[in-house]
Amino acid sequence: MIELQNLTKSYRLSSGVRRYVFSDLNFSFPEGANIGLIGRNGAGKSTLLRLIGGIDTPDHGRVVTDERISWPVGLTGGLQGSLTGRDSVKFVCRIYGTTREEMREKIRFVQAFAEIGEYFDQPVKSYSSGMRARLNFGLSWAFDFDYYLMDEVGAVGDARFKQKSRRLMEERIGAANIILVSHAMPEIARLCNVVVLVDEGRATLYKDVDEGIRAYQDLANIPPHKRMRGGMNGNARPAPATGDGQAGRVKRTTRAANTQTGQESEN
Amino acid sequence: MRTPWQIQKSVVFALFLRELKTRFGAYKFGYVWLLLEPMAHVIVLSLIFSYLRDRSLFGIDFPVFIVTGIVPFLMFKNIALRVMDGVDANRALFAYRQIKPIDTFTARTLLDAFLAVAVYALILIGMAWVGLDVPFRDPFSLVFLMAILVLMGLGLGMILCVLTHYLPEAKTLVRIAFLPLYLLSGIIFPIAAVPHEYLPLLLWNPLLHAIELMRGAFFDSYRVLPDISLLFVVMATLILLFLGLAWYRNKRHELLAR
Repeated sequence: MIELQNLTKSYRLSSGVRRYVFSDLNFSFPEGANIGLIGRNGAGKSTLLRLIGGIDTPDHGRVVTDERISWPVGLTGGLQGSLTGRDSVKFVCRIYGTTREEMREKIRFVQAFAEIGEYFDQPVKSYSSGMRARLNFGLSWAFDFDYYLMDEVGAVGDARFKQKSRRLMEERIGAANIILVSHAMPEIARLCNVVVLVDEGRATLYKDVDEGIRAYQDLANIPPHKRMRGGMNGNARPAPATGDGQAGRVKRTTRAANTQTGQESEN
Repeated sequence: MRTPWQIQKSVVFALFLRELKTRFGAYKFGYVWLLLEPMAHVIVLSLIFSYLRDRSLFGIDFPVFIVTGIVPFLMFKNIALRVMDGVDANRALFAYRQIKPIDTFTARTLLDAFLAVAVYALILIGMAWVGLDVPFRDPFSLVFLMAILVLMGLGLGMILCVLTHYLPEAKTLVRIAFLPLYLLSGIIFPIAAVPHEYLPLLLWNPLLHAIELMRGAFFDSYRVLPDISLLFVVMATLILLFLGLAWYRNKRHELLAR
């Protein structure tokens, strides 16, 4: 169970103006689903992921959960440049309080998964972004969580690595779930069972992934010929404005009125 | 389930090792520099002052006199500056929810305190070895005063950390400010040697009080002025710690926002 209760988060811009990403957002994520977080740039997807991951704190309100949630696995963060790959694994093992045995096992796992050869014993700052991603991925898969938080990680690595991590992900997904932030709709369609569209401080649950993707594409004004086709039923026509209510709620015309209230979208 | 205390303990321990590794892992001379920095002060100052006057003060060997000032001062300075940079240097690691800025403060403070004590012990043993007089009169008071200095450095460091988060330009200024502080804290001269009219001004510096008290606890013959007050040092430390913790507590979320 992951539930957002009256979640409010704002940032102060350099001009001194406070910008609210979320205000009094109430939302519960569906149980046992792989969740795709989608939305336009700056809509607050990554902020939401950081709030769920507990590395950012809301102004008020809270994230209630009884799940073990990973740190957000992304291209930045998590790795300290002057530490070697091996020391990074040891570091994470230590903060999670693993035993010596477990630590050795996790080092073996990450080393085998990342396949970065002797770079494993070089400082992380000398890594290419691909190597960083390999280490980062391996590190998060080495630990058991109920939810793995991922921020735009699908786009890295060569084809072979992608395939390998996909295999591992699919293997894990039985026992665990992912919350994935991505702009790559094919990836969302492949990995997620539901999508949550984040826009203007609100989150809307779509139990039908294709429908959610369409709603996002309407929002982002992506012309029909550029939309992904695979995995979507029928042609990529925009959802009708009078749709089934859920899609309708995110239409631009109704957005302004709802910014202060947020909404509970779980049925 | 681990208790909050267990989690924090393992986080501070992990950060401690990470600091140790990155401080010395990158350079082979890391460990050498640790000893070299205070020794360089001792040697240079001893050379300069041997021309200026008799090297003995109150019958104290001048190099030992310098060491008892410079090692605590460098420890204080290192802790304050390391804590100031603690958030920026570990920014990537705050991706793990159990790591909070205060843990990096604690780890850095502990590391620099341990290193300073080790350096202090090594240099004193070395000096006793070559035949200098190392009385070490009152170890209990010395340990207590060192602990006070550690906390004072931590308090100041936390204040500087929050301050420079909003005012990054101040970092250079802070570093420069430690030079006059070095001269005004009685590292290279006993406070008794200062003309009387300047005393009231200098006595506002708690570091000066701490160094003087340490010298009094170290040497049998050192004359500590009656104006020097342990209470003042303790109060200054408590105030700095309180302000540092309160300001950090208040702004801790903003410290992590980029």
